[in-house]
Amino acid sequence: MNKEAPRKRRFHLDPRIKVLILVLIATVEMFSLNIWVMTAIGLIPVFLYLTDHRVSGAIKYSIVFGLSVLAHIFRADIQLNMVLNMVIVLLGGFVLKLFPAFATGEYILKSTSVSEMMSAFSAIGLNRKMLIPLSVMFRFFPTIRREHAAIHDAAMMRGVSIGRKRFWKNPGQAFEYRIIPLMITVANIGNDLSAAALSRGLDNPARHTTYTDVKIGITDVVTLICIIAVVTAVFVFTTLM
Amino acid sequence: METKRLTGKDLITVGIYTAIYVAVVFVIGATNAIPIMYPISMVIIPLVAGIPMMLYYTKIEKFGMLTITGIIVGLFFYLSGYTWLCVAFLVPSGLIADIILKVGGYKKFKVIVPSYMVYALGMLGGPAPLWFAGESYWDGIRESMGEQYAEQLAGYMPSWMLWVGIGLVLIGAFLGALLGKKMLNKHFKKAGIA
Repeated sequence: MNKEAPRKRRFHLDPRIKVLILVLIATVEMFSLNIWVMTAIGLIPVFLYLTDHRVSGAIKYSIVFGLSVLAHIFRADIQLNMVLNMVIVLLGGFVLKLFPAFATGEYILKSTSVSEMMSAFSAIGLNRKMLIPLSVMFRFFPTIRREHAAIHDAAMMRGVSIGRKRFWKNPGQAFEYRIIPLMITVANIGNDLSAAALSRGLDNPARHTTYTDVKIGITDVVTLICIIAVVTAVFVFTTLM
Repeated sequence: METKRLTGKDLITVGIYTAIYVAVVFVIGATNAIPIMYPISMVIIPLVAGIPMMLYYTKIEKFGMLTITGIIVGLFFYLSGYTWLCVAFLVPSGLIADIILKVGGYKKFKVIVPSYMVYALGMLGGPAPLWFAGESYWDGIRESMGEQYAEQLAGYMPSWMLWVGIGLVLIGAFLGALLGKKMLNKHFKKAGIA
């Protein structure tokens, strides 16, 4: 998998535009506007997933999000018992409010290579003191998840899991045996990463060159304008009507 | 290389430990879907995050690393659906934590504890809009999460809760620092990474 090389794709957004879309989503969600605006916002990740050829991701997300929209619309009519009702409304609200931003964030992580991110953001003059930690962080989330899964598997093999009685006899210890190995592997991977980056001249004060060519193109502008136009139109239409 | 400036290695360290910190806070913070977890998480988050943070503190030798962590964590939580108050809280708390370290000296546990306690206070930026953003924020919660959740939340988070919250976070951070220190001695020194 050669993720570093510039790829010709049919549809490819600039990392800056992707982050701008995420900022837009997070900001609009803060205001908790009406359900139609929320739905319009919620459709943005579906579109993004589809442009990235991740149909199953788009379907899964649409189902979860669609159910939460339904739960929101019919929440006055749902007459289940109190607790169940509350759980449904609560989960619905949570999904409705946070999932679009999560899904967009996940899309950005999956569809952008680190070097692309770096060159895009150094081009707009982001300080390296912010840039390096940020890109290391992006690089690290998948690593943390993978390492955690591996530790989880190892623990399962030895019978340390939430379902087991032994776990609840000593939850503190069980927790310790999860988080400490994770910290140790992550710290070691981090050391390796620094060594690799330094040997490639990370501390070189000269301007760094890059293979990855990033430009804001016509696709980016059109996509951004379309998204803003649709959300604004929905907002104006539903508040004025 | 003995410079005062942050080198590439320092910046990578910042990235790694910020990532772990965010992961821990995010996983525990997600339990806030249940209103009662709001006050409880105020103790749990600084307590658990104490372990990675104490390891992080053993690597800090220069001014500015905690500030950068604060900025990044704040931005991350702003973008993942909390409010801009996260940024407004975490940046100053990171800066003050940095200043405490600078004045008191790096890698001294007696200085690290107050520094971490101040840093941990920044996480109050998450629930802060409940107290500072006024009625419109509560209307938003009522709209999106339902009456029941809003009422329960109001029950657990009255305005005096801010002061209790500060106390809870400080206690959690203090215990977290001790826990982290214990873990350092027990595991990380042996593994040769602290």
